[in-house]
Amino acid sequence: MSNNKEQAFLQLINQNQQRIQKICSIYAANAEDQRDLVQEVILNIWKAFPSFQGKANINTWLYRIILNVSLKWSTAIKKQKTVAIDSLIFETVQMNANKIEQFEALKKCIGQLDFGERSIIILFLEELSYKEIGAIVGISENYVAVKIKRIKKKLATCLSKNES
Amino acid sequence: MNHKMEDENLKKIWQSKNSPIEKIIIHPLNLTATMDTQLQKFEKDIKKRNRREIGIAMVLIPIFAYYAYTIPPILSKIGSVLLILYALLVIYQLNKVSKNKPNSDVSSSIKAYLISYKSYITQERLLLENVLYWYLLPAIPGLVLLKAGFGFSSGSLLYGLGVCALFIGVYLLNQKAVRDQFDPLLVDISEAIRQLEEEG
Repeated sequence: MSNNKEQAFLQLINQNQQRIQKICSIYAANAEDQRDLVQEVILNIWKAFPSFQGKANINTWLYRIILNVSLKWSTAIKKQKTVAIDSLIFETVQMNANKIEQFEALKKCIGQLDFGERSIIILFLEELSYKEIGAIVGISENYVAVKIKRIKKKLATCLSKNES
Repeated sequence: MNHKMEDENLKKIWQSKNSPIEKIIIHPLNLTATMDTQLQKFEKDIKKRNRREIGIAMVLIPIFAYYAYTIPPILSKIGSVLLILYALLVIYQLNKVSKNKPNSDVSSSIKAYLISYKSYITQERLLLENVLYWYLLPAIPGLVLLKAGFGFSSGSLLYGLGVCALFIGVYLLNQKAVRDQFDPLLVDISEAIRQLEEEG
């Protein structure tokens, strides 16, 4: 990879690392698992980056990679234990405990959805349009709307159960 | 709570976690090396299996060619030739199946990615399920003739039992892999595809 491409890749990861970690946290069972999945996602972005066509929307491209890798991760016969490597280093950052609690409740409810629903609601929460979600998932815009309506109902029930 | 408020509330919770739990520091130089060593275990195992089986078959070809040339009994010569053909068949089958690769384009749509992944897993499953027909049974005529050339003795029974035990073991291990690994994986993938195909 040329220096320019490498810089562009690093910039892309820096700009999107919260997003990557947040989505991976939905598919991973624990913090260690999440690190492995984040690593897998970043490796796949690195692998696919040289062939990225500027014409395509970078966000659509990125979401597809994050979700496809997470899919493969969650259905893999046996998730491989990743080798300890020093290509990625994770530094802990302190967070507001209250925010974590709310997010964890939502994460738990999203985690109870099936794979297709999970992908759709994550993209919805990331504020993507129905059209963009349809393009990433590979379904029609109308069907996205139907699915989102159903998923929100499920989430509302789950969240209210957790509150009570 | 109306729909708009519900949406905003959910999005607010999702986006409230706007600080990363962990800051990621990347060392790009190591990424490529890591990528090479971190193929999905499943795909890595399949590649390893194909290489191993093809390697064994390639070693067996000159051995049986040597037998066919040097062993006097005609039945053993025929058996050796059949075993060479068998080894070639195994190489052909594994080469054919190794051309069937999973979709490496992780930037395709989720549905397209799932469909391609399912097709790859289905092919691999079929190979294991039919191991009796392309891997085990074709070896038998060659093995029997190779032994028959030397005449049958009390040791032949032991030879036969040993071969049978080995074949049964290989067959059962492959069926176990189909049942315990491939079938649950296919159910997961098919279910994910079904969810995306279901009409509203």
